[in-house]
Amino acid sequence: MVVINLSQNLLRSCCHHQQGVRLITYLHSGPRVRGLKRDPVSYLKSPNGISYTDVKLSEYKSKVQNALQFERCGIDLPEGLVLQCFTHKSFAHGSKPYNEKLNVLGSQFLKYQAAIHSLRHKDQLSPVPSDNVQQPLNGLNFTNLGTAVAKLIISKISTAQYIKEKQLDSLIFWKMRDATKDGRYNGENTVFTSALNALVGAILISNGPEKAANFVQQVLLNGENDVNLVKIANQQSQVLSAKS
Amino acid sequence: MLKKNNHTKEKSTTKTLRAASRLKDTMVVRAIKQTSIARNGVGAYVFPCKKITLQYCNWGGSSQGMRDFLVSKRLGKLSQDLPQIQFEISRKSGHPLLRAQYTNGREKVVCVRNLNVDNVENKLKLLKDSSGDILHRRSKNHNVESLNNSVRGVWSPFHSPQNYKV
Amino acid sequence: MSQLSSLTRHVAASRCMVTRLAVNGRSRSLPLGRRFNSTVSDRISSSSSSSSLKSNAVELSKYKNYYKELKQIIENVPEDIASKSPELVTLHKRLQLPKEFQLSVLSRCLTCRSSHLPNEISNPKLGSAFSSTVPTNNLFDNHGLNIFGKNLLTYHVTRKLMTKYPRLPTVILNAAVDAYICEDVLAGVGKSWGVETEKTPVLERYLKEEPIQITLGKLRFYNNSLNQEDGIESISSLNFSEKSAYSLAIRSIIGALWACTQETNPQYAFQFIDDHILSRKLDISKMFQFEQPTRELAALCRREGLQKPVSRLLAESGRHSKAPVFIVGVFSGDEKLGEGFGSSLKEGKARAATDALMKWYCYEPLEDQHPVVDHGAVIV
Repeated sequence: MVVINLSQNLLRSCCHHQQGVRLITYLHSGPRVRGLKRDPVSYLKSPNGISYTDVKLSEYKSKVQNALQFERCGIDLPEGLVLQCFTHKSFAHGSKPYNEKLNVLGSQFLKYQAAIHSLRHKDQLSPVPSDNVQQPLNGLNFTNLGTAVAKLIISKISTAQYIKEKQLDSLIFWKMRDATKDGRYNGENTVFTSALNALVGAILISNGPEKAANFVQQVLLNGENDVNLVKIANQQSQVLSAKS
Repeated sequence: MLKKNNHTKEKSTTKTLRAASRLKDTMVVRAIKQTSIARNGVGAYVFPCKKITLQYCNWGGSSQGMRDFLVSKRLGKLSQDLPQIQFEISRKSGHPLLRAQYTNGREKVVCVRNLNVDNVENKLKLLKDSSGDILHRRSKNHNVESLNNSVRGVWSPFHSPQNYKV
Repeated sequence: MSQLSSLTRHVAASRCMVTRLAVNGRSRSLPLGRRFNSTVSDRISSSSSSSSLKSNAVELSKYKNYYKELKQIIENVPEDIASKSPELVTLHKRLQLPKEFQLSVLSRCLTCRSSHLPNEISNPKLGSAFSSTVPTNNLFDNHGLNIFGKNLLTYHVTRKLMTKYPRLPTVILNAAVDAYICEDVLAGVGKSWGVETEKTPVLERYLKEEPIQITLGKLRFYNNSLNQEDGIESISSLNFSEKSAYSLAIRSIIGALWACTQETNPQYAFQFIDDHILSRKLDISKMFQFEQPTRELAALCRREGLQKPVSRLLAESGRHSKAPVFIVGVFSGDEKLGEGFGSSLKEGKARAATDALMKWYCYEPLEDQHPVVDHGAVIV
């Protein structure tokens, strides 16, 4: 593919010399050749084959919105931000907006909200030896913090599982370390987790902490939903205990 | 032959060096570790004086003022006004002392022998108002001390009007 | 059963402790002054001169009671005893904590789990009586409070930093968060709050006839005064340093503050963090170290659709002298992105690029502005 750019600025600056400068860029597609610029179409593709440049933003956003019940908490995210949340740093060598920092913020907010959730849980989330029980403070159960299930709620395994069960994993843009190997080798869980965390972080930044807290408590941690992190965490702990 | 060998060796080492530097380059910006500096009073103000011990002697005449002070209502009033300070009274022979402990870990001791009630109270107030730091002599040109950069900036001959340019 | 055996061991150790104190007691002047000295020497003379087993037994049973009572109170601090502790009351007032934050809760924040250890560690054969804390159960320690406080702190500090500097690269952001809430800083905060650690062994406190509530206002963690007495330190894989104990206490005070005020004023704990932690001074621009500033700036301009950055010499002096100075500006089109000085053109160019990058990364939006979401740091 050959693109011919007439650089306007250069053209303007050179006008008084009565000559234009033509810049010719050759974009290579197909097998990689060192030193040749690649055609963006060839690498702006998610592992599922969705092209980044062809994404219809409104459609993309509504898919995420419906899966995660944004209207329920009155959340509205800009379309570009949703796409950014679902773009991992590995995608296109970070040349497109990516979710690294939203992930950092979101994971901490999620941790905080999950801690509140387990504090308000009157019963023990997972069995605790009797000498480790702590006195509740103001009706908050501090024994639950730091227990196995409380940790599992926000673990990579659970959040990645959540994304998979909501079938959002196909929307994520990232680059596999080695496309021939399985998801575990490629660190698929980390990528999926980052997407969910980033979404929480984006809601927190653009919609404020109240709505974000509502979203986490009502959508992600609510036991009444058919898919929720608490349920997944309990399943995971059963799997783990069965193994050991 | 030997020379050639040496030459090739050198080449290979430079190659590995380059590869190493390329690896390093992937890391673009690095963080230098810092710690934040406390500024008491910006945000919260924690009272620096945490404990004052009043030491008196039941017998010595130099403690008369201190004893009067302890008997009067002044200490009660002070401790009500300053609930953040712990007051301790101890009896020990010798001259009366005021011993103040501060949140910076330092301690200041004032001997109040032969002082009357008012002077003892003044010394006490002096101690409670102190920040606990060692006393500084402020010389004439050291009247600004700040962690912040100058708002005005530093004068530079390169950025000033033409007639000052070097 | 194990508790009983530990207690008897304590008693056995305390016997040799008394004789030991006889040596120390005279030479060292102890904090409470004369009254204390006299009691110690009285007791010692009685124990050494009469040496009748009966008086020893009475003394020991008294000590046992003191120890038991101490243990019982620490396991569940009653509010009326806590309110008698001058340390707790003054600390509460010094931090201007709300009324909902009870003094017993404050005392709980100062009880670290490391003060309760398996018997083998907390009661080594010799010197168990020197330990300044008593083994208790976990009912009333700051373990859970600390976890929650840490969550609160990291979340709030990260959020505040991200809204203030939305374009910080992740490494810098993490380092900046660390600069506010790392263990060293929190230990410093704890000391500046006037929190003291409990250093006096239980037996010494008993001999001083120190009221039990005094220790409630001090930070209690694994602190065996063996190392202070004999120069012997017990080493363990767990972290029992003073610093970590202070940071545990700070975090749990924040956690407990949230727990106590969440119904009345949920923002109180965050305000507290703002006032005490985020009010500290941190110069974020001192945290950057660029590897290749010019290359990074070029990549940034390409990504943001700006024209290629070009460095131009703005001013110079003494090019052929020993100390030349060059002022270099970096321009994208007609717009100046940054400026730098240097004693060579190359140095000036690198400084100019660094300056331009700094202005990009340390960008601060106005407070009433719409939230800014950054696209991520540039990868070269």
